[in-house]
Amino acid sequence: MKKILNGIFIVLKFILLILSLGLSFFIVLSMYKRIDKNIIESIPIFIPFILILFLFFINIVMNQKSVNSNIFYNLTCCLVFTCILVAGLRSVLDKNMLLNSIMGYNINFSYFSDFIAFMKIMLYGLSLANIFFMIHEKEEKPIATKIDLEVL
Amino acid sequence: MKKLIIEYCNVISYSITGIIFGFSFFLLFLNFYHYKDVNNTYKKQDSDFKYNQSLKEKILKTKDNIDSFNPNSYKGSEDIYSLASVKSRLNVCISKIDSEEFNKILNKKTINIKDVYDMQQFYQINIANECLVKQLYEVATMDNNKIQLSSLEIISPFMVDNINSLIKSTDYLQKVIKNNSSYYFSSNSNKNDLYDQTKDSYYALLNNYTEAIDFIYDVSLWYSEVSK
Repeated sequence: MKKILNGIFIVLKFILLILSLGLSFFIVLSMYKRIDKNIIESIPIFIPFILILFLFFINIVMNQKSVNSNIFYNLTCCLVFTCILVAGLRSVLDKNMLLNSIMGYNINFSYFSDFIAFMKIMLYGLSLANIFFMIHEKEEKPIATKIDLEVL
Repeated sequence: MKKLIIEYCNVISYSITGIIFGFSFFLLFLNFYHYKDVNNTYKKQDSDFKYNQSLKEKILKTKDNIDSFNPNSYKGSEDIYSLASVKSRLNVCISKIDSEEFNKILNKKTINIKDVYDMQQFYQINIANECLVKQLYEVATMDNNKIQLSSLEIISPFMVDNINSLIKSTDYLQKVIKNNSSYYFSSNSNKNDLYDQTKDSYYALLNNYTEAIDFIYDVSLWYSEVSK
């Protein structure tokens, strides 16, 4: 049961990460276009996304069980990406937040830019936790004892 | 030593994950709460519609007062051109207010914060700017002595004071309702007991509408007396 749940969280965290990255990219792109700012200046916003994507990639390639089978970490990842997705969707779809229509782009940039700081904190936190989870004792194969040999 | 470091790393990583878990949980539910708060609608009562009807009746009475002056049959001592000028200004004022947009706002059965903002914008553009500033302020200041009416000089300071207070009366509301687009950490108690953004802003604005329409009605009453 735990394994199935963990598997669901792993799949979900990748889907949510891609969706939240895509939506954030769209909003930030529109935001920078609106104020005629160079898009290259928005790179610091996406560094934590790229970092965490890179770490997830390492986790899978190196088959790090300390991270991959950590249900609490995977659940937190899902929660963080859902939170980013909800904030992004609200800044685009929630028409009752008045700045959405006043700004004329049908995106509430003010709301999303308020959220960027929280987003960075959460993503850098997850990356840091991931790095610390990577440091763990190697699983040693149990050495056959004298008694075991005698039994054999 | 190696084991201790690994143990510490484990503790740190779980602590960070725990903090992030709590923080994201808080932000997620704050978002849901904020969504619920922002999308709160107010269903109008029967008394609201009766009140709106009285506003419309007042506008009709104002129209009658303005139409009481007929330049062809006027036999009084006042300057006929000044009376015609005031009449046209009051007519512009009423036509700006008694519009399709105004009726649409008043006839809405449920009000949300976007409607309140539209209502405020209507007040600011059509009532404050187009009517009070562009038309009635000119009457109050006698349009650089182009309007010559006997009692206008006496009521002029009162008109100017009223206009000044009416044009600024919704500024505060505009700032408050615009703030709904950012995070705020409100609680149930301050939402329910202190300030319900949709309902209270609606009534505050309706009060401004009433005051403005009453003021125009008073001016029209004075005008009908002068133009007799």
